[in-house]
Amino acid sequence: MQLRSEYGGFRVHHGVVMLVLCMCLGACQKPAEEFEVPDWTPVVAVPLVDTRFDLADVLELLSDNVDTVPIAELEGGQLAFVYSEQFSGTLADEWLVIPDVVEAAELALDTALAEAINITPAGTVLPLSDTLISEMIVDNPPGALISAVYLAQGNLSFTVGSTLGDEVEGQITIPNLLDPTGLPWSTVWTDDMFVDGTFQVTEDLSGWRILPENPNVQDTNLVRAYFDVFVINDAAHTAVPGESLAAEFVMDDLLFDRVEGDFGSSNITLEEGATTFELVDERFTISGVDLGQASLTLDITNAFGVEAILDSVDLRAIEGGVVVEELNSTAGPLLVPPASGSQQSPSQVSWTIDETNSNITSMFSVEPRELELAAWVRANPNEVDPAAPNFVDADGYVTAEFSAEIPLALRVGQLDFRDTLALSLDLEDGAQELDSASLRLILHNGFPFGVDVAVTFLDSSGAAVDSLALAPLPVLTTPEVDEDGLPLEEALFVHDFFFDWDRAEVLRSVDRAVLRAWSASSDAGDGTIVRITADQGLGMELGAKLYLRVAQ
Amino acid sequence: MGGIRLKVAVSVMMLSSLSSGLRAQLGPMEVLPEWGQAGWSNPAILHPSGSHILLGGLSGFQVEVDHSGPRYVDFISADGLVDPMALLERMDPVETVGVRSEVPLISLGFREKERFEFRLRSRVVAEQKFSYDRDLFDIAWRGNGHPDNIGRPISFSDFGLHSQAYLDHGLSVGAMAKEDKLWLGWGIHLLNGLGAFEIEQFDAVWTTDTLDYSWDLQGGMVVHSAGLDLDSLLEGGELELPTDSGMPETLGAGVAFDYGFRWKLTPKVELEGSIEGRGGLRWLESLSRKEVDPSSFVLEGIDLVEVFDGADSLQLDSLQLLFEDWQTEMLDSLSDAFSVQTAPGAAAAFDTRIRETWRFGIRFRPHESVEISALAYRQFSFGRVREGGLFGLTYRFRGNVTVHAQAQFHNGDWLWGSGLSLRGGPIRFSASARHVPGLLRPLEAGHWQGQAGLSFDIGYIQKQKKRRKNDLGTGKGMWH
Repeated sequence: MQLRSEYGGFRVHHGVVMLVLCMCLGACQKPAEEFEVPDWTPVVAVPLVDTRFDLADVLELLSDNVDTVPIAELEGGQLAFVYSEQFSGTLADEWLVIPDVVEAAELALDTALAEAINITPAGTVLPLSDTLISEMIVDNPPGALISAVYLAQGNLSFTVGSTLGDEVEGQITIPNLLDPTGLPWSTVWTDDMFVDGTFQVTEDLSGWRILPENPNVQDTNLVRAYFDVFVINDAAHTAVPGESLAAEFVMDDLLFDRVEGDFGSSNITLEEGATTFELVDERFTISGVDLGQASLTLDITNAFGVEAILDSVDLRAIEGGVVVEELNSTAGPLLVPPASGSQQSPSQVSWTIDETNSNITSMFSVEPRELELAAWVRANPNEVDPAAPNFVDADGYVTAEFSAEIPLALRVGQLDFRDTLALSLDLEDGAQELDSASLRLILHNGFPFGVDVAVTFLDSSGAAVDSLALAPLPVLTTPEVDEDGLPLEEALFVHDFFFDWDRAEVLRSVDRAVLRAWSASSDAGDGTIVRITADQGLGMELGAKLYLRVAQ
Repeated sequence: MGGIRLKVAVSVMMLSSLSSGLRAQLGPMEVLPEWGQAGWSNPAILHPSGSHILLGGLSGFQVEVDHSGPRYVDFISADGLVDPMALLERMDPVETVGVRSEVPLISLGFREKERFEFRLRSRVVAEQKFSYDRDLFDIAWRGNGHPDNIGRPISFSDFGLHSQAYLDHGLSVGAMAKEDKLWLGWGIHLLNGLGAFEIEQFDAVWTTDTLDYSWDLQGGMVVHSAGLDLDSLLEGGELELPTDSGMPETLGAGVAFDYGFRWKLTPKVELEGSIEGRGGLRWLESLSRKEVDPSSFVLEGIDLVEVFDGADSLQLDSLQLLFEDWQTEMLDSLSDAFSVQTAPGAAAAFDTRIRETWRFGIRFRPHESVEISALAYRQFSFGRVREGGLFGLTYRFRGNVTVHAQAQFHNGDWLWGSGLSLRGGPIRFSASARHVPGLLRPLEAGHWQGQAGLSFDIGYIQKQKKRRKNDLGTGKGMWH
């Protein structure tokens, strides 16, 4: 378009041309054909772990890895090492043994008796009577007076042997031996029942009862057998002195369902033995430890119908074969009631001593210790009521569970731990975009003790190639504690671990790592006893700063 | 992966620089009557021709792109070396990209000398504003673990997208109110809404803890639209606009008004002022509203105790599965915390404003052909206010040539604009640029804009000075 004006058309024309030209020149300014962007190095901060271990988690880890005595939560949240053991106790057939009953008697003709027989008319019956008395001496328990034995099994045999030339008949009765219907045992024999001069009868005593007599303090547990012998004069035979008639009854292989009586005041053993008590394993070195509390409990179960009493426990601590401590207690005796009616209703009572009434705290140590224990109860501390005699059933028992609790109220001057772990850090090459990284570990220690840790990485030749840090790290910073030994607030530990590929290359050669840890309870130097409770915990946070490098 | 990220990064940077076009300021089109649009900016300004007709996009189609961020040369060297840190340093905390396009359908104007002018116009307007935070680039380039970022609430809360399109049917008049002294103008716009999308509220703050590096994410959002199926968009569906037989439906309606005056203090000094586009639209049809209730989410890392409690073993495979489960749980928790919700019942109608401009200025004519102008203005657009000032020098030659140069101070920058209007017979050609350096050296400029158009002008060709003596400024005003 050409625009002209009377005065300035020419200049306007050139102005338009110049404007268009400028615009064209401007359009020639173009962006670069290729762009170069420097390496892209963003820093990404990301949380990795945020977790909280309560003491149960920590102890589970400890139990799995350092083989400690199990730790449990007590009432009120107090935590304690807990050691328990079920005692073997005493079984009924071990404590009370029914002796065999064996009694024998012999009738021998003397001259007078022989003549007396001979002068009687033939067929005359001469009656002779005798009583056999057997005393069932009970050695276990000694001095036991038995009023009734309900037999689960047993055998009775009665034997008569005769060398008399005259006919002999007879009968025997044992009034202390009752069959299941309540009738006393008896038997009768005639002369023609002898075989080769001997007559014998046996009886299975299962379900029978023996009711011994205890007429006085000298004659106890008596079983009587009354027998009568009838000698019938044989005219064809002349009795001569020396002929005899022998009788014997035996009750043996006796096992009871139940025994009643007065069993005396013998001991019933709960346990006799030794055990090694080791709170922590040999990888720990501990010194300056004071235990603030400890307790020992015997939970006694009495399935005997016998009252008993626990008045002492023999407990000795032995180190290196030398008795270093013996238990002394001012605790009163414990009366153990009898089972009620049968062994199916045992009585249960507990006996506890602690640091207030004994020297129990000195019995335990963080060092391995052998503990020797002897515990028993004594039967019938009180006179037995005849209307309520002692009884022992065949399945009866007396036993106890031993438990020792050592609350984690302690002072630890120094606890060292050292272990060597097999380790392989085969880091992958894949993360090429990761230039380096900084791993941040944050620990919130709610326990009343501190732990310093040092980790040294070794190669296969044992040479140290790297370490977690130049100096031991107080990973569990020791918190301040109040007058009760509880942490005032959680102590904080923050540490950054830096990794780059040079370090990763070094760590590839790691073959094992030496872990060393040092611990002490808060204010241990001041003698402070700290308490570890279930509500204490360890918070752990792990974050990473990833220094990425995106090469263009 | 690195290459893809590089391309994305460069693309974003290039977009930032290439879209560094004009800001929504004033130019010759709005200031000088010869361009045929000034009467719509200040209805008291009368067109120099007796009547004028603009038909279709050729007559005045314009697209304005406004990016408030750094220029290309601010962070890219001539040989293409990109300096991301320079980009960050030259960015304000919040930058915006505004796009506004106007497609005139028809515009008519009839003037009775200096007494009265009547105008009619229909146009299609589409405008949008996208706001983003500098932290978005900062976090991408330096990461959340950078010392300058860790522990600092990294906010994306200024992120926003406002967009609307509407038909504007306008009627405008300008008339002499006092004989050769005062001209007043008034206009009304009947607005037919075609579609809108608005992020009414957007809060997103990411804080990385300096101690344990945990992440604290807080956010909420309210979005509503007219004519867009947000459910489909959220599910990755295609953008669908409601149409009826190929013609866009009217989804909203509204009205806006223009007010203006021109006061000739002396034959050589004239004051002017106007309010343009005061009004808005109410969107009533095809509405959607989505909300994310204000919520927070804290990422603190894996709870090892919980994970190990659920582990059958501590073998690597099982731990990997547990870690994947944890990841899934975290993502589910994150989705639950910031779940997109649809308000029950029909979405409520919502209102939007159209761009509104206030201006006040003075024109001084020391010579019949020379005009010196100074204007101050304030613009309201999608809740943001911008202010600026303009100094112009105009030379009119024989009534058919107008040359204009202007210096405009806006948002801390000086823009150097110019324009040329030529009338030959009934044809008027006009061209302008609000910032000429932006055309000459586009990579060094932060603003770029150009305009050209044709119109049919009839009558009132400005005569030579000696011939048109006493032609203007005679007679009574329209309302006297």
